[in-house]
Amino acid sequence: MLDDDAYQALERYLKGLEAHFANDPSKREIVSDIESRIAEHFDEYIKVPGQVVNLDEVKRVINLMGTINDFDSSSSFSPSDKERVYPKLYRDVDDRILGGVCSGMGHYWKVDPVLFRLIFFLITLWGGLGLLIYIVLWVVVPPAITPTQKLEMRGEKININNM
Amino acid sequence: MNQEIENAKAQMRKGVLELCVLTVLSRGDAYANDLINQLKQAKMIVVEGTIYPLLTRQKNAGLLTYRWEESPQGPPRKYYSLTNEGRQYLAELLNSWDELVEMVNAIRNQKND
Repeated sequence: MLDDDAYQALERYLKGLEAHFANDPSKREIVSDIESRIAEHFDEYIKVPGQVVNLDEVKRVINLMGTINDFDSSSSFSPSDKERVYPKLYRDVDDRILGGVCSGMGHYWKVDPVLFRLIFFLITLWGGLGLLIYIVLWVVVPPAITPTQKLEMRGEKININNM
Repeated sequence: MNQEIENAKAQMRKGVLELCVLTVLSRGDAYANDLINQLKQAKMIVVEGTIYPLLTRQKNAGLLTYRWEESPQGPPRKYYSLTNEGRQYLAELLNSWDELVEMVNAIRNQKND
């Protein structure tokens, strides 16, 4: 049993952890492991059945487990996994037929751009809507011009090696 | 200055923590509690939580596995054990650790003449 303050503090802590590991495919496993460990600490603390866990105890256990900052500095086993950048939508002006919209979309979804070109072509045949959408995207999506933007477009991490 | 020292230390520990976890498991299967206690005693970890993301990643990489075992009190516990792949991986890590120590010592003992 936890009292209200203790419950809220614990809830906040766990929410924070979940947010921290949001991009980790094993988020659920990591957080549930940590939860069981916290439960063990509470078990050790509770001496009489029905004893209530208070805020001080929750704070003590959170201190033992570590805050998000601690996780940042020492949790990553394979940094390349964690610091992986997700691709950003740019127009690929190096590989374009019109504005590079389709090849940009190809990088973004890791699909052959020919597929998007075909789709736009087909929708255009069907009342010209495709052309309109294409032009809107041409205007709205920025071109990848600098090396940084090109790396972002491909979803690669920016570092000295690939600059 | 102090902050920087702490940072540098944390970075060093981070690099070898993986090696230490595998070493502890190479001596026998362990449950997270034992693992944490041993690492804490050796001052390899300061807070407990950081061990879990590492264990999960090592498990995903096929270096270790776990099984559930009933515990005398409380819910079942995860027992971690090293896989064959993990053993090979550890052997390589230990090799490069030895090399690293030698390299650092060589540099430290160099005389400027």
